[in-house]
Amino acid sequence: MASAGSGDEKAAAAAMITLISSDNEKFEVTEATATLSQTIRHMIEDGCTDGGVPLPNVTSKILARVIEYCKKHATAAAGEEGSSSSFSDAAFLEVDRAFLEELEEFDDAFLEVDRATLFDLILAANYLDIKGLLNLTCQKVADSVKGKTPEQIREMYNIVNDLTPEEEAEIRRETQWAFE
Amino acid sequence: MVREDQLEKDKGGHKAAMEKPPQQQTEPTEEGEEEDHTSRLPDDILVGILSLCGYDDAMRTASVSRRWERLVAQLPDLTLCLSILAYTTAIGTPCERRLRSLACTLRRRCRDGAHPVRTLQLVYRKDVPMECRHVDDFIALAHAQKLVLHAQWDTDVVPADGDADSDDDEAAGNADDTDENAGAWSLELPPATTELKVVPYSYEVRPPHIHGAGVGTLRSLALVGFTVLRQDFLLTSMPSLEDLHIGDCTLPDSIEVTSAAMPRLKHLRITEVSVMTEEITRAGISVLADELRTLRMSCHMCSSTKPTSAPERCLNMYMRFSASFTSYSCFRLRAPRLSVFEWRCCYADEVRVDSVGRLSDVAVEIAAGRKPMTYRQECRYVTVQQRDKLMTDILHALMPGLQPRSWENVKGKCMQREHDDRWLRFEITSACSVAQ
Repeated sequence: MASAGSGDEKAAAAAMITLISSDNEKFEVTEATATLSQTIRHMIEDGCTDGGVPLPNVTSKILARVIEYCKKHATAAAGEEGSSSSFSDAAFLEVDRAFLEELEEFDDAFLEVDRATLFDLILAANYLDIKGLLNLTCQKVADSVKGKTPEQIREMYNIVNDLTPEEEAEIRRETQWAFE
Repeated sequence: MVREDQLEKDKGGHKAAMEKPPQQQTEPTEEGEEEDHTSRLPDDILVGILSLCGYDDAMRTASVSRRWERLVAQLPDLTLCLSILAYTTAIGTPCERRLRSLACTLRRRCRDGAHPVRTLQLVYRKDVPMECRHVDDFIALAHAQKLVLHAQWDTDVVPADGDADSDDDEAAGNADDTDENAGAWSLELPPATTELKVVPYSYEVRPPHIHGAGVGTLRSLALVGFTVLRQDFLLTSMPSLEDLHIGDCTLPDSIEVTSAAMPRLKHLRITEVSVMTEEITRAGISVLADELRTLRMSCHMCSSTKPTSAPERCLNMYMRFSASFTSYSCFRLRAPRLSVFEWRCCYADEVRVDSVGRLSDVAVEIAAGRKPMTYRQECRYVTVQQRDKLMTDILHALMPGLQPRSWENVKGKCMQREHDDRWLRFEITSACSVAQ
């Protein structure tokens, strides 16, 4: 379980990085996978990854999911570098489409988690500065809010309404257009 | 499974407490379902989530709680649709009450100026004076860095032949012009605006006359939509403009993009720009820009051809504003610092290149084939000879920028597309010029 980085990576000699979760579990991943996180990328650039990278804000359960995401998307990033042309090439796009579809399916399945895990993933993506994962998870929350009434949103996320009835009525009046 | 995770966490938790900051994350417990998950998110992330919602969806959440109200007021990108849009119609219904409510929201949003508006996007009807007035007010009030205007026009109200008088007072001065009904209109840019995109939804809507404090600092301008583009739009002096995109417009006459009006223009895109009616319209494009680095032209929709063997199944509708097949009468280029030249599915009767810079990326792609037919027209073609001549003319004209490549080298890079020999294609990129 701990050696999450072994397997299908092409470059056998790829540098490995050890990530340490808040509950002290070690995960070994390739540099290509780890550097999807800008936070870790900067650590590698500064040469302070010897002896592992402690991630005190991320539990092993969440880190395992984050690595799963990064491994999948690191392969995608490697494929994109293959094309150096500044023009969009029809043939290249054709090949790419199948892979992008697969990636989309992966993302959809990846998001099938309970609410608490989703918010943990958002916080981890934010802390590790993984743009793709942050966008993906935030979009999921945004989609859940779309088309809902304030009451439904409060109920969905257990948010306490701390507005007085008068304040609420005033906001409702001022934002009336959004309810049309 | 959950219990095991819980155990693991507790084990590590002790050590973490001593040398590491406290954990932000919580594991899902039975009580976990009851807590407010959004309270765990920092403000900037929740603002980010709300920006992904669309402005009206986000605005509805303002009365969720005090925190949400505060965060909604920080959203940087505003999209306001001035009319009430129904699902069944593409065009909105004007509503004064809605305009008042929108004005209220915007005034509240811009009250203290602590969170400047990044993008103000307005969808409105150019044929409704009440909405136009509000648009002017909103633009001045929001002081946005980027302004996007979607200007609609109800074509059902005004007869399509265009000789009916418009309600708009300004139209009177342009009564001689029967192509467009909306009349001249002007757009005052606030000083903060550096990016402007105008999207006309109907040929009745003309490009605006741009003026105001923002004209001097405008860096990016896009006119993308169904409108009749005349030279006057390109004469406005825009001293800071670096990016210009002209798309989907139609040309009744030749246009010129020049350094005189846009001395700092670096990037120019001309996409799907058609000529108004073939045979009658002789419209060319001149680009005379001293600082231009990239030029991208494409016209896949307005200049599409079909294989000669394809059955003539349908005749195209006669289009008053767009020729069934667009070929510019002349394309002239003087851009001594140009390094990227892209020309895809574009046609010109004549190509004249005065100068280009050292070209790093070039792509030229042209097809032969049968032109679309309209009622009463005969079958017309782009012949293989015509295609090859155009390609040769373009590449010959670009030769000074392709040095030290020889003509043989250039010809060697010119090939037909696989599976579709109608297409001839030439492409070099900076990557391969370094390699050679």
